[in-house]
Amino acid sequence: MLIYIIISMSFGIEGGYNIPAVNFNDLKSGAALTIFVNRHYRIADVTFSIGTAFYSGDNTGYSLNSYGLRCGFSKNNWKFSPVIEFGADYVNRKINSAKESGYAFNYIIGLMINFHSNKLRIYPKFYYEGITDFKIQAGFIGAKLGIGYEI
Amino acid sequence: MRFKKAKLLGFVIFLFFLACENHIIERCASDYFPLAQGNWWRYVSNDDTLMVEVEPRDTILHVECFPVSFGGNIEYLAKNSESIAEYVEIVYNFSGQDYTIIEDFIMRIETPLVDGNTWEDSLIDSLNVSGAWIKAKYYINGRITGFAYADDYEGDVYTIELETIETLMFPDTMIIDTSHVTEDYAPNTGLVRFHNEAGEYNLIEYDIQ
Repeated sequence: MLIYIIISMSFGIEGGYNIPAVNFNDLKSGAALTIFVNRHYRIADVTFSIGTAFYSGDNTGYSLNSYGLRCGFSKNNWKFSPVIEFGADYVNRKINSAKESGYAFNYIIGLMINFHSNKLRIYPKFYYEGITDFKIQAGFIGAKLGIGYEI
Repeated sequence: MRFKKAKLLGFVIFLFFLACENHIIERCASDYFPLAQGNWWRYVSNDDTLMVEVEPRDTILHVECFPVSFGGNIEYLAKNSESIAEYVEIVYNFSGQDYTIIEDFIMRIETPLVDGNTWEDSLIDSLNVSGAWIKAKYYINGRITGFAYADDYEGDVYTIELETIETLMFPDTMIIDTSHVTEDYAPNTGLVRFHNEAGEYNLIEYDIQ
C-alpha cells in the first residue's frame, strides 16, 4: 500500500508573485513559494503543500508573512486545469520591532496550464488567493511557475 | 470510506477553529483612519459634547491634507503610506507681530497599527527676532499599548498613547508645554474614545461615507 502511494505520487515546487487585490491597502507586493506532493486519483489530482509568502508594505518598516498548509484539487493531465486549494495560514505582521500573529483560512481559485515532458510537468498558474479570519475577506491575485516530477 | 470522510470533515473544522476568534486579517485590512470629506463623529464626556468633522481637502506646504474640525478648532491631518501626519505651526508674537518659527508636518501616528509599536518624531527650528534667537521644538512620541475586541464596534480596537512636548526657548528663558492623550481606534470607524487633560470623551454617534 505504501509503495502504491509513493509510486503514484509526484512532487514539486512552485514560486511566484502576488499583488494585493482586495483590501490590504498597506501592502505593495509579495513573493510566494510552495513545495508540494501530489497524488493522482481518477476524479482529480490531490495536492498537499506547505508554502510561505512574504509581502512588503508601503511603509518600509512594515511586512506581512504567512506560512501555510494546504490541500488542493486539480486535473494535471488536462492542458488547462482549474485549481482549488484551501488550508490554514499562520500569519504574522511586523512593523519595526513590533509583531502580531494569528491564524487565518486561506483558499486559492485559479487556472493552470500544464506542459508535460516525460515525467516532468511544468505549469504557469494564475489565481486569486483569498485569506480570511471569517470576519473580513482580503486577497491577492498572483502568478506562479511550478515544476513537478512524477516518481 | 466513512472514516476518510470524517477525517476530511475534522480537517475542515480544524481550519475553521484556527481562524475563529482571531481577527488578524481584519486588523491588517481595515481602515482605522477613515478620513473623508463629510465624515463626522460626536463625542460626549461628563459635561461636554464634541463634534469632529472632516472638511473638504486642502493643500498646505504642497501636502494634500484633511482639515478636521474639533469643535471648531481646525487641525490638518495628512494620510500617507507611513503615517497620519499632523500640521504643526508654532508662532511667536513679538510687539504685536507674529513670527512663524515652525511650520511643517509631523508624524502623529505610524501606520499600519501593530501592537507594541513605538515611534517618535520632532521638528526643530529657530528664528532671529529683533536680534534675539528664538528656538522652538515640537516633539511627539507614541506607542500602541494593545488592542481588544469591542462588541460595540465589532472589531479589535487599538489603544494609542501619545505624548507631545512643545518647547519655546528664548535667550534667557524656556517655556515647555507637555500634553498626554490616550486614543482608541476602531476598524472602519476611527477614533472612538480619547482621554486627555480635559477628561474622557466617548463616541456616541458617527457617520462614515
